Amino acid sequence: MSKVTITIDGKKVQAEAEESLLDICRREFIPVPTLCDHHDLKPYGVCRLCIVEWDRGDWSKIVTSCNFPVKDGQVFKTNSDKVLRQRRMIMELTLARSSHTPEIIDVAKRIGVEVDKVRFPKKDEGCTLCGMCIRACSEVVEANAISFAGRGPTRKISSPFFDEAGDCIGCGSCSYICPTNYIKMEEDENYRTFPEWKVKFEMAHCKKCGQKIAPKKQLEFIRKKANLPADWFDVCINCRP
Amino acid sequence: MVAKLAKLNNFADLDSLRKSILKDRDANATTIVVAGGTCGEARESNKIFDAISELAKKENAKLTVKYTGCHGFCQREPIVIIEPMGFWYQMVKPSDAKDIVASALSGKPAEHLLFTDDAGNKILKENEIPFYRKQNKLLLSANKLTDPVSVEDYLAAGGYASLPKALAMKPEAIVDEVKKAGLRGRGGGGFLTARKWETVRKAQPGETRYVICNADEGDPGAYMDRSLLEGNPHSVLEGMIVGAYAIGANEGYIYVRNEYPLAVKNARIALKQARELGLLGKNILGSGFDFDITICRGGGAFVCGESTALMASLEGKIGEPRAKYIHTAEQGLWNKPSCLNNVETWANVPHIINKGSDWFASIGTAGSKGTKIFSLVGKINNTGLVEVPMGVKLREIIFDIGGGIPDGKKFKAVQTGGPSGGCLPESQLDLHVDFDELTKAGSMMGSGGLIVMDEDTCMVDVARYFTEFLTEESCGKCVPCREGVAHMLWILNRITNGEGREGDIELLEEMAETIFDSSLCALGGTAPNPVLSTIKYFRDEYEAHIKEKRCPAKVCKKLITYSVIDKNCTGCMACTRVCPTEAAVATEKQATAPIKGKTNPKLKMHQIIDKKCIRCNLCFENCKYDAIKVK
Amino acid sequence: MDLSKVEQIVKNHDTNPGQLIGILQDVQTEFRYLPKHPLEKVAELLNVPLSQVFSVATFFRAFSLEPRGKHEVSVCMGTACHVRGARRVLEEIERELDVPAGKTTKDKEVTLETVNCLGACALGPIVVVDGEYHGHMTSTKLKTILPGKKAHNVKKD
Repeated sequence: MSKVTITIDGKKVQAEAEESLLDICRREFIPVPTLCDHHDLKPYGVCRLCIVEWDRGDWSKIVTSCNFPVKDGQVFKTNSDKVLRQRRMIMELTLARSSHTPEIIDVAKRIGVEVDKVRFPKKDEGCTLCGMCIRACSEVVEANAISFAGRGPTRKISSPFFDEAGDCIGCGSCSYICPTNYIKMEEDENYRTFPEWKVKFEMAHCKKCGQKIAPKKQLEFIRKKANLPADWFDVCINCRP
Repeated sequence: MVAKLAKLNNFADLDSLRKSILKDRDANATTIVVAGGTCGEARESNKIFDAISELAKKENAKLTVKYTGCHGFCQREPIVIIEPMGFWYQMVKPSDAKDIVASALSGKPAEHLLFTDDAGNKILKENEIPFYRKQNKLLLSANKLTDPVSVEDYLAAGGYASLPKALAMKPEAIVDEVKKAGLRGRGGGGFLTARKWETVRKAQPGETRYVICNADEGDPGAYMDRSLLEGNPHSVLEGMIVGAYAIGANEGYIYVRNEYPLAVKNARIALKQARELGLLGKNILGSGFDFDITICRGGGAFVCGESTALMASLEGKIGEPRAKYIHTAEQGLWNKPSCLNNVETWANVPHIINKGSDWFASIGTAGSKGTKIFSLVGKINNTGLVEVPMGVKLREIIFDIGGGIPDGKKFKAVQTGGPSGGCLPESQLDLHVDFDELTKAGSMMGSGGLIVMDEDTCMVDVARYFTEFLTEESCGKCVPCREGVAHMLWILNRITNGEGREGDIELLEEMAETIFDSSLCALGGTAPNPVLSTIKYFRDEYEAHIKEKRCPAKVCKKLITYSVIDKNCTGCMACTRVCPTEAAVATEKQATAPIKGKTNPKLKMHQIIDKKCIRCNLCFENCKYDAIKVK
Repeated sequence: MDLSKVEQIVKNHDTNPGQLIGILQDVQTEFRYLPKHPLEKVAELLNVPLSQVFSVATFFRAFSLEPRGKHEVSVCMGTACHVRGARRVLEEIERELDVPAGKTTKDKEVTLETVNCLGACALGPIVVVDGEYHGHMTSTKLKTILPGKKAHNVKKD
């Protein structure tokens, strides 16, 4: 990869060609808000909060920084009036959807949205449709157990047929990664359940120390994928010789 | 035709096949042409064809009967033409078959089937009819004499002639020729076709690349692509073969709407024929070039007209667009360089190769070359497909070709560019229609839908209609489009329901800026156009709804009332009979208006009880005495 | 449910995952909707996740996860039809059949759908009943073409 020089808010910055603009901003401590970006996932570009203005001299264009591959000599503004104004509108729309979600209220406040003066009908959707759960399940876990269902305003995250997610291995990545804590994972000594996906998993315990390890189905999934011996997960990591 | 077609191994084979087809045909033989196509068939053109065929067979005479695609003048369909005399018959019924065959045999026109102009003159031939006179049917003319399922017809009309020429050229030279012609994409944005081809040609050297034909014609009110693909599918294939050769692709796709069953059927037949003839497949005409095409049916999603969404659905995924900071020309289908053009664009390509770029560039305006097919629909006398050179005035299309507005009503607006476009008022009628002029006026070319609206059309309701359409068709991926457009609809619903507030117009404008700039794809990025263009040109209608709670066009149900005009009411009870909610009822008073000159003392004057009225319009439709008033 | 039909459909499409939409269309033609088991079979045969098949089946307008009625009534909501009063026609059909657009009547007789544009704008407003086009529709005229109504009228005579 070749090195390029770009300008962000008047400051010259070195970067790799095709590097994502959001990554560069983070490295340079330039604050850019986002609700759908995660370092382990490919950029998806849906929350639109990370928009910046790409200055083309006599004209400019709004682009999302998370999936924008930079080229040498490009000039960006991350806090022009236009960017800030549009971010507030996007956030107001997001807040109207998830008006009771603390994480959303918090971001809205930070970028200057008057939280109690939302001009659109308020809903209480904990899910912002950022798709992190689905992307983690397919890109990282490769279980592909969940997806979006429907389209437009009725789009939702879902297990197949809104029923038991047969391909779910119970790893919990969807829940860990969910930025609004919408996807719940409940667990006791013997079982782990995901109400959203209508699934319940039996937990494996270490045959030596009795310590709870993970859902049996998850261990089996990993074992097969990594081609490990049949008894590999009989014991926990601490008891493994 | 059932027999398998013999494979053509080289250019000479193609030439001799064409010659032998022409030799077998008598140019002077009397031919009865029945125009089919989807709208023709909706009016029984297939039955007409059967009836005429049967009679012709009985006559045992030298009559050829041919079934073709749509001839464009939808308003007057079914259309039958008798060649070589050129008699042009309209609004034909199956029962007219006898007269038509008689006319073909006698060489005398069947007077009652001829077109009558405004002055009452009978018109004999197509090119004398005002609707056709100003057109330049470069692409659509073949529909007139070609049976879409007969490759012989296509060859007889000079079809596939561009292949020997193109396949002998250097691919770069073809791209150059298309560039010099100035061809721009007919699907919406008007992007320079050759520039796209060049990018695809140069991207990812050595990799597989694809050509794709976008036949997912999603703009409601636009159906020129359907007409081309179902009426002349080989012309689209021919364009794709040339394009594929030019960019170095060996695989192609046609992505067609499933709502167009006839187009799917005819395109499949054409593919089969082209394969049998060796015009698709390995070593096409001995040139060493391999190319084949697969047909994929769309699942009914407007957003799949967007290139990245279309390609996602070709991969068997949901039609969700992705950011285009890297173009599909570089990374498209299966991440390979992909060249997507729409049906009409592809159909232009053979003409450019055959007749040269200079000829093509001589048609149209400085920035927009060639012809454009428009579908002229809505409140217009002559509904139909109109092909004119770029740069013709809107007024010419609507009034000279389209014959103006029906029922003596006043023109109010013309909507261009589908849901991504805008509404243009009377003051814009002298605009010369091309890609750039329409954009400047706040609308766009889109795929060429022209929906004419008259004084009875409520412009706020039209904006609401398009916004509702876009809300339902948004894929739901990004926030500005999914949430923003839906909230625009919420505001428009309030306004049309009489619950508009001060500041609503300004809020719509404020939202529009963000939705324009920050949406992920072109669906969201153009979604505010219908709202903004109606605010720009018809702000007074918005204000009437918001401030006076009044719908000037009397369309918005919550803002209108139905009542009986006492002096016109005959007491005939038609309204009572049809009223589904018992809102139209008799009063105690005797009706005063006479029926056939007489008043009947038993008949009572009627009234409409507003509380019960659901504004279904049934009383209005059924009252023969103009006694129902809408206010 | 005859899953061998599904196998044949998938084979007809060269077991190509890119043809998923076409496959689902053919499955829907076969079963009149997209039932769960055939979709599971499709996913298995194509070797694509069931979640992907499900998302496609719910994304596109052409597909229905619920059984459809014996008859299909589609109202064109294209722009040309709209300016000529299609909405009013639709509302009247909804009232007559007592079913909202996109749903099937309680007796499973009729499914009422809207379509975006049939491209036969000269005939607008258009209502299609079991594949047959009825043009220049009005609230009054439509009473004679609705499936349930027609049968009802015949019985009465």
